[in-house]
Amino acid sequence: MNDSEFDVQVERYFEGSLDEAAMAALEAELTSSSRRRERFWELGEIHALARDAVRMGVVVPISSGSSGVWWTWRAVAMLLVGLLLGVGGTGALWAVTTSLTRTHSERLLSLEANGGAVVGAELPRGMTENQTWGGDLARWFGGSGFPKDSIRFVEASGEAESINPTSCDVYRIVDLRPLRSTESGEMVSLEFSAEFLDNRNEAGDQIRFTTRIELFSGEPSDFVRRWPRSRVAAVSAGSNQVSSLGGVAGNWRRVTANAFVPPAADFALLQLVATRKADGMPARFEEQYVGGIRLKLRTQPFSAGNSADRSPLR
Amino acid sequence: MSIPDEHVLQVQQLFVAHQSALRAFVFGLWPDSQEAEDVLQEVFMTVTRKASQFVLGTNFLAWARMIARLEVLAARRRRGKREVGEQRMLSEGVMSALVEACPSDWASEGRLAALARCVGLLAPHARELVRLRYFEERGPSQIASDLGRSVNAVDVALSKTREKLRECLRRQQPLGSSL
Repeated sequence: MNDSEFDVQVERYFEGSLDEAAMAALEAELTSSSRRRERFWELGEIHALARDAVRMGVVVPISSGSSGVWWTWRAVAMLLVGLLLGVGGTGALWAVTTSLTRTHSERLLSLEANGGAVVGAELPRGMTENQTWGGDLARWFGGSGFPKDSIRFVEASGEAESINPTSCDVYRIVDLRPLRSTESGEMVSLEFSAEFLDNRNEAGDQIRFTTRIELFSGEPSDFVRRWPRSRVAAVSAGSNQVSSLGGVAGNWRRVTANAFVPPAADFALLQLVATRKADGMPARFEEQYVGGIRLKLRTQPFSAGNSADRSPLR
Repeated sequence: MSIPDEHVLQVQQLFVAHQSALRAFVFGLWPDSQEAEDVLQEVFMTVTRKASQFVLGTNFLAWARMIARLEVLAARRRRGKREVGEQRMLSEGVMSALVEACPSDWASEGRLAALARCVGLLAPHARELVRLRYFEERGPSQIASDLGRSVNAVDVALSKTREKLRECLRRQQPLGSSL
């Protein structure tokens, strides 16, 4: 097999289209030469990274005369079809899917979005421990085509200790302790997602939208009192973002962040952010929204061995 | 002997810091994105369970990659016999040799960021191909159908696009440069 043929076989391997004979030939090449093994990783890196590059929010307008479609990260949630958060409800919705290897439980947690606040009302300013949305200047929003309980970003200010005048941050603390598993030997992760809309009709400066989830130990009240210094103590975190130049009004984009839940995690800080590098500070926002906010708890059993004392939420 | 919680936490934080590279590594050994996500969660569990065996300050990624290799094999065994048309998996021996050859900064966070920049530099038609292949997860035959082109033409175009990305990545951040 010459170099060019080897490259083709490796590309096919990463495309998942090698038949058995071709796979055997590829294995023989990989066994015979360290140079081949180096080339394998060199070729495979693009395949392995491309999906994550999308997660990072690379913005790619579709060409060929259509300027209005953007990349959005189609989250891991292909398993989760049809589950919608019961905003305003008090319960939780459970779903169980069976994969080829194990059973997953997925639980959508109620976030009781606005607690009865009316459309147009400002969100509470700053960080609060009472498990409601608050933060920089933002308002509840409603309208045709908008998810229930949407939030409109207004200005990157409002917190007493605002740490970034380019970002309008909306926060919420979620206490994880009531969710501690009654089952031993479970693995837990949280998936936090929301839909963002940049409703500018004309293209303009870049605005970045971020979902972030950070997990902490201890009492939320202590955390709030020491905010934002307390932030450095996160025991786990995940974030994801997309960027927009506008010009695609009405195009909601879901952004999903995942975080593993380690044993010490007592509560989660959820964060929705719009960031804009404006000439004037603090940055202002006119037509940027977030809605369809979901928090999903995923559990799965440990697969083998002694599972005692392993529950991350125990 | 009980494991100090603080040590386990630090090991878990290392996992979180390296999870993109580990996800890519798992994908390299088993090019199936959904399976890679599941295996990655298994890796996290094993890393947590074996945290006491890891010495802080040593090479976490190398240690976690060894665990990842074993988890890929275990997941494949659990899955059982392959289905008709499914690609055969690399043998354990070849996988071991590959793990040893994997550069330490392969698919690192820095290279991921560099690749994101490189995608942004592609011509629109090439970006569209990348979008269809890696975001929409469509195979070359589906892409060919969507675009009204032959499968061979799509294969060639995808190959050229990936080569452009590799060249861009080489310019921006050569492998081994962040060691």
